[in-house]
Amino acid sequence: MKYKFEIILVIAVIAFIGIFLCTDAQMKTSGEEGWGGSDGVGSEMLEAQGYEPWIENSDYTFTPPSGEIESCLFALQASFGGLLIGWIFGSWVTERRLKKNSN
Amino acid sequence: MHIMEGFLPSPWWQIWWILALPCLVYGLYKLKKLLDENRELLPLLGVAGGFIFVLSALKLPSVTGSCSHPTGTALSAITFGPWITCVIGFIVLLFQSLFLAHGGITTLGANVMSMAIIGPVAGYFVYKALDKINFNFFASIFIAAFICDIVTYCITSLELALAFPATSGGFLPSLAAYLGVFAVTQIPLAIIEGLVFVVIFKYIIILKPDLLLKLKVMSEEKMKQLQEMMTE
Repeated sequence: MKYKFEIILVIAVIAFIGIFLCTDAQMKTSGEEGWGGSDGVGSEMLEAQGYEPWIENSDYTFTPPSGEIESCLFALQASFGGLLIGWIFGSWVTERRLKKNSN
Repeated sequence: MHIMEGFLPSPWWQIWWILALPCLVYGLYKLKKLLDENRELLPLLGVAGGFIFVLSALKLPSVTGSCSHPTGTALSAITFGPWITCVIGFIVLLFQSLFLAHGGITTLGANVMSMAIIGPVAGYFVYKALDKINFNFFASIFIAAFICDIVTYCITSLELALAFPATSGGFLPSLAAYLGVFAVTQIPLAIIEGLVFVVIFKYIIILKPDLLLKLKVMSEEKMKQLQEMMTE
């Protein structure tokens, strides 16, 4: 099986999406709100205990002014990483192909 | 996995910064030495960093009804070791805390400790141990990547539990509560991440096996066996 690992990965991703859809449907029927970040949930647990953060990002640095701009920056972060990976793997593939042809 | 800015009181954020700094300095020293000796490892370093950038930007929904993201540190930890991973992880976390308001400068020490130091250290040693007993290579990669990811979130829980022990019962119930939020959410993501890195390592073995030999990720014999297995 040449593509054994790829097939396993695809099956796992499909299972993952299936679990997501099931949980989502359950949460919709029970009326719970969800799909926030887990770090947000952790922080909310602390705030529920009465803890107040003693410093915030907006005190000293840039904070994304809205969710749109935040998603833009996240997309930039991911595309930068993706470009780097694609470029390097691409040049490795080409290098191997050139070596094969010269023999 | 970030502890948000302001959510670690003194002295905890200072303690984690003090623990993280020597690792970071040692990592920079190791990185410089590695690149002085071997410029051709630079692309692999780029790929390793790229994965941390991409995967830590992917916020995925999980079984507990909240979202979290993979860490992507496994490739770097297994190939370059935990110290160089510490440097790359630091850069990613710094970017996120400065531009995305995820984590912060005071909690950066604690976040670097969990994602870029202890997680990769755990994954690295698990991989080395499995390699020594000649365990199946791809299974070892899967386990090591899983460990890198899950340990990160366990350490985040530990950091919060140490700083905020529960009023009744103290440290342990608090740890259990945070593990319930962070680690349980992370289990499915860690499985996917493990599988992604198995595929990535497969392609590195096909395209650039000499880099893995140079970094002593595995012995030459083992590499030959794997290559034979894949050409069948």
